[in-house]
Amino acid sequence: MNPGAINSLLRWVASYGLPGAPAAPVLQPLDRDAWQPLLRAAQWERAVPLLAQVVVDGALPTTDDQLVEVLDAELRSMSAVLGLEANLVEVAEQLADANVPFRVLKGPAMAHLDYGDPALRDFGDIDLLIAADAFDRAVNLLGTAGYHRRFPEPRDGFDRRFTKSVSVVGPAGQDLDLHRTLASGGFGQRIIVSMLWSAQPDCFTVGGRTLNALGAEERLLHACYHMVLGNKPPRLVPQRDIAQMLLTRKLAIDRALALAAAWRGEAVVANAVATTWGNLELAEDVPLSVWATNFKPRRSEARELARAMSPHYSYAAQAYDSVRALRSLGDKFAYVSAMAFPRRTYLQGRHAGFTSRFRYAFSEVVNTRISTKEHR
Amino acid sequence: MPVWYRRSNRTVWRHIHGSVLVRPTADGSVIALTGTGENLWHLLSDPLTIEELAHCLGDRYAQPVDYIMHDIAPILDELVTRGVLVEATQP
Repeated sequence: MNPGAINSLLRWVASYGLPGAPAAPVLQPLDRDAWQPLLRAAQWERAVPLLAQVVVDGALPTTDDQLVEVLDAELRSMSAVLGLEANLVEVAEQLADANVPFRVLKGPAMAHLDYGDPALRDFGDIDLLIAADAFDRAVNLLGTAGYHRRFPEPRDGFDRRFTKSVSVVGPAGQDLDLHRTLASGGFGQRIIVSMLWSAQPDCFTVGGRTLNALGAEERLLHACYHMVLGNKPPRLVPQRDIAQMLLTRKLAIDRALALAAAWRGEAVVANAVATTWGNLELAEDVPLSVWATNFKPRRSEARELARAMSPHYSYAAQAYDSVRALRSLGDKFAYVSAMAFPRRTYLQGRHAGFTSRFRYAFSEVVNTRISTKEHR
Repeated sequence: MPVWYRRSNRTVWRHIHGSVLVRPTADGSVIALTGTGENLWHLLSDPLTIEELAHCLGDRYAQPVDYIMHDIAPILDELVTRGVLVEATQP
């Protein structure tokens, strides 16, 4: 079985159980040369629980050995998830005790709120949205609890004003991402963060603690932004999240579209939903999938989206788009100043000094502008 | 005085195929409950005494209540020690 056929099979696994999902494509157990790449790809995509469900339901016939392998992989992935949830509870208690407002994002929130069975949704880290005015306090608080930042802040105040997220690592190696907003680059800067906080949160309980997540429509938009602007090429689980929400939940689609319009992110949402429906070969349309198929982005939006989706979308190009998206001259100046003259610790391991940083940034911005003109 | 067992709030858990994985939030280890242990976990969504548990499991496995009580007592003790279950004097 060639890699294309493995990918196709995995896309079917990712759509399994959804209304309008395609029928089983395989009627007999895969040979070892096909099974092993499928299992590895499922692990990479964090789709092992879905693969296990497919196998246990008999939708994908397997040998006894293959059944044992997939159940073992499921046990390991869910054991890791429980470790992350235990960490989530601990961090949530620390933040709540310090009156730091937060919302749980992505994996744990999706698992508990949007999947009928949370064991179907694997995840590999914890992501929290932190209120901008409490952002520095949250980072410092976790610092005192033994967490350290992966990368230093370019300049004081940069995180709470401009950053997408700060990655910290706990004393036992736990990954935790503290988000100010939901995406990087221009699309991220145009998200009106206050709207994420003003909406009614959805709640779920883990380890005896009730946690707030974003509202359902905000979660859907985050899944779309994450799918399109996150990993390149887009991973399957965010696509499953989008389809899962749209096909199994009652969402206020007009509200979701109004949010996307306010954030000037309709092109992102349309791309995410249309790509999901195409990749997962979903036969059952919903109003948003019809809208996404018919959506025509403005040329400037299409150009920016193509740049942001490129695997070559560099940090300098992200910064270029971010500056363009910032509204006030003061913000633009502060952002450029921080990027041009960051503290020395920020440069360590990235550039030999300010001169080499300037040279790199200049060439990247020129490349971005050339690529923008070529798209016209 | 009878003792009621219930799940500790301070655990995270998942029901996967063939087992329930439970992890106390303050402990680094994951416990896999299978067979009787898996059934026991599901029954303990409400507080139950060991006699009540044994009656439920005895019906399910067609075994005498005394035999089941003898079988599950060490499991309950272990789960209480590990912080997965808590004991109470009232339901």
